[in-house]
Amino acid sequence: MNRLKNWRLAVILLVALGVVAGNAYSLKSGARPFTHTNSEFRVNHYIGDSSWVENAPLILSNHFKSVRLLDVKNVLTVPKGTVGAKVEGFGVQDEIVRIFNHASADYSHSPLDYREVYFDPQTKQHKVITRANLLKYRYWLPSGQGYMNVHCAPLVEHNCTLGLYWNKNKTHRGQDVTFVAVRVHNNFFALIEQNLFNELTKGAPRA
Amino acid sequence: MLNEILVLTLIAAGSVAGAWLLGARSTLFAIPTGLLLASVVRILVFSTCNMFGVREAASGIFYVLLAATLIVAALKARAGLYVPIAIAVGAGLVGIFATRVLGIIGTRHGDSYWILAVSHLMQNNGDMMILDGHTPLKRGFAYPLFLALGPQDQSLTGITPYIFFAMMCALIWVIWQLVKNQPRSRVYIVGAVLAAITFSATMPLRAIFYINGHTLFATGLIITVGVSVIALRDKVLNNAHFVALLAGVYVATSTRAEGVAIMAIAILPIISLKFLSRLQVALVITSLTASFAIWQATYNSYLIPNGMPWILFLLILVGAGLLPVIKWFDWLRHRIFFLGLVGLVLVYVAAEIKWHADFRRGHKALIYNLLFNFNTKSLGSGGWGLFFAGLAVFLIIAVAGRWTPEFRYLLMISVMLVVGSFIAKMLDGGQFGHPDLGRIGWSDSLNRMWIQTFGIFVITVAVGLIQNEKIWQRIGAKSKGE
Repeated sequence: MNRLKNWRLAVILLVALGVVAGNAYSLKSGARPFTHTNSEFRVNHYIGDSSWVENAPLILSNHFKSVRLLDVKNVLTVPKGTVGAKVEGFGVQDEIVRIFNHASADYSHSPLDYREVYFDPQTKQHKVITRANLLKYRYWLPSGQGYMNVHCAPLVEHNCTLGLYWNKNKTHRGQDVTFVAVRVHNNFFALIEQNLFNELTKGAPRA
Repeated sequence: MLNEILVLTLIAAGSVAGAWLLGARSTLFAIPTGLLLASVVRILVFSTCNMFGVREAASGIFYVLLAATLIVAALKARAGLYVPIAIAVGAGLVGIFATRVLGIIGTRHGDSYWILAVSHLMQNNGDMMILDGHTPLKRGFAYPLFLALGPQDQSLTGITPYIFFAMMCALIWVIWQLVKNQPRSRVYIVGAVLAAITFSATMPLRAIFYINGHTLFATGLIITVGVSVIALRDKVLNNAHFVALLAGVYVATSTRAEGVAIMAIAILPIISLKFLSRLQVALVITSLTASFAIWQATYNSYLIPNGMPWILFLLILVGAGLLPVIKWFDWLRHRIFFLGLVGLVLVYVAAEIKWHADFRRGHKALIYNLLFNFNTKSLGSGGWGLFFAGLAVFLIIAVAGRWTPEFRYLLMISVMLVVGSFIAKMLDGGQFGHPDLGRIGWSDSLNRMWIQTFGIFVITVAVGLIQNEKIWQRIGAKSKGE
């Protein structure tokens, strides 16, 4: 009878071996617990270089002297209206804008509606802002991606895509700049530098 | 890097010196206790400076206090001071070497970015009113305050692995205090087994460098629970232990959004003790309520009703918390440990019945995260590998033996922490609609909350295994009772 009593210790050791083997396999095949490639210690650049959903204002404020964001109100109403109508927006966290205080945001209006699929019955005109004609102004994010994911109004999608655009020949690092938020497609938004926006829309009223 | 070396060396040395002056003489106890005390001082100094609009003075005052503590301790120094200081400073330097020289960085995560953003604001003496919103408020107070002590526009990178080191010191110290009368061989075997299953899993390793307050919370929780169980067993609570407990409660409450709820559970064992004076009970509860109120006041939290002065909020919270100290409530307070356990389980069972449809996804996530993901046919998606499965097997073996009082208390606290974590997650999810028990993936907040509590589970299993005589009888030998 007593011979059997130490089976508990044997079970403990065998289970431990099994767990370690399983964990080691999992560790080898899964995501690494940490990496050893970091050389960026400045907080604003460490965050700004990532693919974080809240990053847009930080990326822009890392790039320019000061940044003003217009039409970044995020509301949950069903989109209706004509060219330039205000629809739902995407998430621009006020706290992030204010913490890295090279940027400011105006939340009084939602992004301008310039969805590709939309045809304005009043002006009989197609949209002047599309993903295609924005492409050459696209800013490649520090993370190496062309677009970033952002939170957006949940009536359409929980996650939307955002692109950052300015004319590199006319707008340079270290300038004071203003960006306009535009809805280009149902789940695609753009932050477009105001001069470029005016150029594309040929001076159409922003709001 | 020189700046970081100086700051972390001062924190490590000054904090251990402070703990030593308050009676924490063993290295394993002095390091975590010192860190918790330093965190309390940092919070109080920063909050006070913020209140008077002189936030820029906060870091300087903190350094002066640490240096003064170090000088006073050095003047009184006897044997036992310099070894813990040397070990703490060494651990801090290793942390800096790992992050600054080797470039090791924790897994990137949105919460880490939020925390770094909050620390950036603190470092640059920004307006704390900015943090009133829901998201930054959830990122805690104590941990970003440490990060904010880094070089200009950088964070104090070495503090994160140092906190993990302090957490491990606390864990080993508690286990040792509870089993030191047992044969060493048992302690070493169980220690090796538990260390092996812990440090072969992804999440405990991830916790070393992951930028979040989980390990600081865990340090406070382990010290609080450990000191409570030692007091429950010994029917005595010495001053050094009591101060460490107060600091543990204070820091853990200010570290994470769920801190106040989890620590309210964690203090139930200690406040139920009959031999504790009313003043001691009042101090324990106030370290919880004042910590929460000061954090909310400094962040100008939306949780403080509109127009209510923060001092009134603090007085109401602290005053309400002191009700159990009244003699009339003694009958309740002396049974609160057991009643708390029953109450928590009942609340959870009721929630399961009411929201069983909403919880279905959460149950699946729990199994997939902690045990096995049947979709991808891989071990736990939460990064815990087989850690919890192994711990469960060990626990079954442990409970099959004689239950010592300390093991029984640890079991009860472990159950309360598991259920409390579920309820905290439900409350968090409930803010966004229906209560929830999480989603599949390591970054789910409930999955990360286990970083805070796994140390207590390890202590429970360690004590249960080491004290279970049935495990340690030699083959063919008779047990003591036969």
